[in-house]
Amino acid sequence: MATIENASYVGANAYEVDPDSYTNRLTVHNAAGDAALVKNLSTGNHATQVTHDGTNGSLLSVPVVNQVMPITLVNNPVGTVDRWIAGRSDADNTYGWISPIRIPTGETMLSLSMTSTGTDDPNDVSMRVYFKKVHILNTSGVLVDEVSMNYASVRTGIEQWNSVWVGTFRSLTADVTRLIGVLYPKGDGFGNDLEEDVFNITVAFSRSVPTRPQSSARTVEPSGATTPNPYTVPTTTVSGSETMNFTDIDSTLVLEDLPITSHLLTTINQNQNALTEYLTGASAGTNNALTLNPSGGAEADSPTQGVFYDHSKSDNSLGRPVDFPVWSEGFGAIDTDFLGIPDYCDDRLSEPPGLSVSGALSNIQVATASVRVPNFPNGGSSLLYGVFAYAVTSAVDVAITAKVQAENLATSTKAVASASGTAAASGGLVVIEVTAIDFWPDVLNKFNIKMDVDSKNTGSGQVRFLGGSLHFRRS
Amino acid sequence: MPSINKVASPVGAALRDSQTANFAEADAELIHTLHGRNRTLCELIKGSSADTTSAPASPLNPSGFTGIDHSGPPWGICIRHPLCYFSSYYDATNFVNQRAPIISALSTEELLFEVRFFVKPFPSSVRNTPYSKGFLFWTIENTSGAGSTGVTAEILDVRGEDTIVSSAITETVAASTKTSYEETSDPIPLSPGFNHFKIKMDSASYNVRLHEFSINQIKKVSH
Repeated sequence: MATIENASYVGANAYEVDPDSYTNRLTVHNAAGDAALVKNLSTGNHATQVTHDGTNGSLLSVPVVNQVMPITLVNNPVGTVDRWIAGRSDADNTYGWISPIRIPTGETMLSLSMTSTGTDDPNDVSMRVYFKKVHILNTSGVLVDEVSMNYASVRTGIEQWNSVWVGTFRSLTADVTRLIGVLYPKGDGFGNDLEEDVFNITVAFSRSVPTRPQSSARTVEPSGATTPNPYTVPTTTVSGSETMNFTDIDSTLVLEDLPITSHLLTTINQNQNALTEYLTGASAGTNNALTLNPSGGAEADSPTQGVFYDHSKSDNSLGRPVDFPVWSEGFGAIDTDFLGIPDYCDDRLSEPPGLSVSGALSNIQVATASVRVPNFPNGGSSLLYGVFAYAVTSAVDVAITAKVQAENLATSTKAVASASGTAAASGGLVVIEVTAIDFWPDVLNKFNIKMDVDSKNTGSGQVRFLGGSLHFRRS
Repeated sequence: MPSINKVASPVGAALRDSQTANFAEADAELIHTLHGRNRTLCELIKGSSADTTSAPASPLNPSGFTGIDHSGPPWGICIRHPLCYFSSYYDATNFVNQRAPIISALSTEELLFEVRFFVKPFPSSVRNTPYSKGFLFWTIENTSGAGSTGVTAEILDVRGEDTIVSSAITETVAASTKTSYEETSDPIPLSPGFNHFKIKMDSASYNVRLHEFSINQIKKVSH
C-alpha cells in the first residue's frame, strides 16, 4: 500500500475525459496524484523548492527601495537641514544618493526612479543635471554596471515643477548584494549652482503591468445562489486554529476493476478545495467565506498556527523561505572614491551622519528604521539580513561594528545582532553584513541601527554611515 | 499534428458536494473538473505551465506572471511589509549631522513630503484587497518640556491642493516624550504601481521632531 503522489504533473488530455471515453484507472489515479503533488510542492515536501524565483514560483515584484525625503516650506528656521540636496561638484564625481540593496533571485531588470527639482527652467540648470547616471557597484565599490538617467515626466508641486528621472538596468546579476547610487558627474562649466532637491527614490522592477484581463476572486456567494457553502473544505484543529486537512489517498483505492466510488471523488475534490483556500486565500467554489481559520482570524498578528501558504514556518510546512526586500535607505552623498563629502550637502539632510574627527565610538545610534515585517520565521531560524555601508578616511586600519536590534511598540527588545568590518589604511568603502537578525514577525518593528568605531581611528578620521538594507533571503 | 494539451479549469472551478455524492450522475465533467483544477492549482504553485508542452492555462497574476504572487486573494494572502519610509535619529552625541526634521508649530511652516513610491501590482478589481490601503506609522518627539501638542498629518494630492484622506491623522504628544503611533484608521488609498501624493505634517503648539515614518501594508486577506 502506498499513498498516491505524482512526482511531476501528469494531468489528463481531452480524450481521457471525453463523455464517450472509457474511464481508465490511471485517469482517476493521476487526479489523486496530481493533487498530492500540489500539496507537496506548497508545503515544502518536494525536491523542487518553490521559492518565488521566477523558475519555481512567480516572482513577487516587491520593490527594493521606497525612500522619501522631507521638504520644508519657506521660512522654516531649520529648512536647509531638512532638505536632501544633491548636485554637481566642481572637483569630484559624486553619488548624490547611494544605498546597499539585495537583488532577489530571478530579478534581472531594475529601475531607479527619482523625483527632484530643476525643471522649471529646462534651458538652464535642469539641462545640465541631465547627465546623471545610475551606478550598480559591488560591495568593494567596483562599478558593475551603469545606465543614464532619462527625464521621464514633470509633476507640479506647490511651488515648483518637479521632475521624475529614471534609469533602467535590463540584465543584472541576481541573488547578490550590491550598492546602487545616483552619479552626478563633476563640473558645471557654466558657473551655475547645479544643485537640486531630491524628494524620493524608488528602486523597483522594470516591468509593464499586464493588460490581459485578470481573474478576480469570488469571495461572496453570487446573486441568486440559495445554498451557502456547498463546497466542503476539510480542516483540522491544531492549537485553536482550523488548518488545511489534506487526506492522502491510498493506491489500493484505485486498483484495476475496482469501482469508482463517491468516497474517492469526494476526497479528491475536497482536497482541491482545501488547496484552493490554502494557496489563494480565497474561498473555494462559490463559498461565501473562508473555512481555513487561523487562531485569532485571518488578519491576526503572528498567529501561532499559520494556515495559509505564506512561508511563515521554519519547518517549511507553509512554503519554503523566499527572498523578500524589507527596507533599504540611503543616508547621504559621497565622492565616488568614498573618501570625501561633497560640498553641496554640507549640513544638509544629504550629509551622511557619522564621525568627522578621529576617535572612537561605542554603541552610537545612527538611525531607526520602523517598518512592518513579514510573518517569517524568527529567533534561531531568522533569515533576516542587514547590510550597512560606511565611508572611512582613517589613516590606519580601523574596525567598524554594525549593530541591529529590533524593538517592538511595547519597547521590548530582541538580542543585538552585529558584525564587524575593517577599513584599510587607505580608507574607502566598508560594507558589513549582519546575519540572523531577530525580530517580531508580522508586526511593526523599530530596528535600531548602531555602530562602534575602534580607537585606531586617526588622521582625518571620517567615518560616515552611507545607508543600510534589511531583507530576507532564501537561505 | 497539434499536441493534445492537458485539460484545464478556471481558477474558481469546483465540484459541489452533491456532484460527487453517492448515486450522483456519472458525468464526464467530474473527471474533467478534477483534472482541470489540478492543472490550475499546479500552475499557481509552480509559477509556470503545468504541462511542459503548452503555455500556461491559468490567467496572469497582477504582476504579469503565472502563479501565486502574494498580492492578495486569489493570488495568495499578502505578506505584510512597508510601502515607503523615511528614517533618521537624533540625540546629543558627538556625531555630526545626526538629524530628525522639525515639524514646526508655526502655521505658515509645515513639514512636507512629496511621496512617490511603487506598490507591487495587486488585484485592484477585488474590493478592499489588502494592498488598496496604506497606513501611516510615525515617531514624534516633543522636546518643548512645556506641554503637549497635537500633531497632524494630512494626505494631499500631488499638487498639494486637494485632501485625499478627508479626516486628518492627529496625535497628541506629551511634553518631553518620544512616542510612536501606528495608525489603524484613516487609510491612504493606493493603486498598483506608482503612487504620488504629499503628506503635510504640522504641530499645534510646539515644535516637535519627526524621527521616522513609514506607510505599511498591514492586511493579509481583506480590509
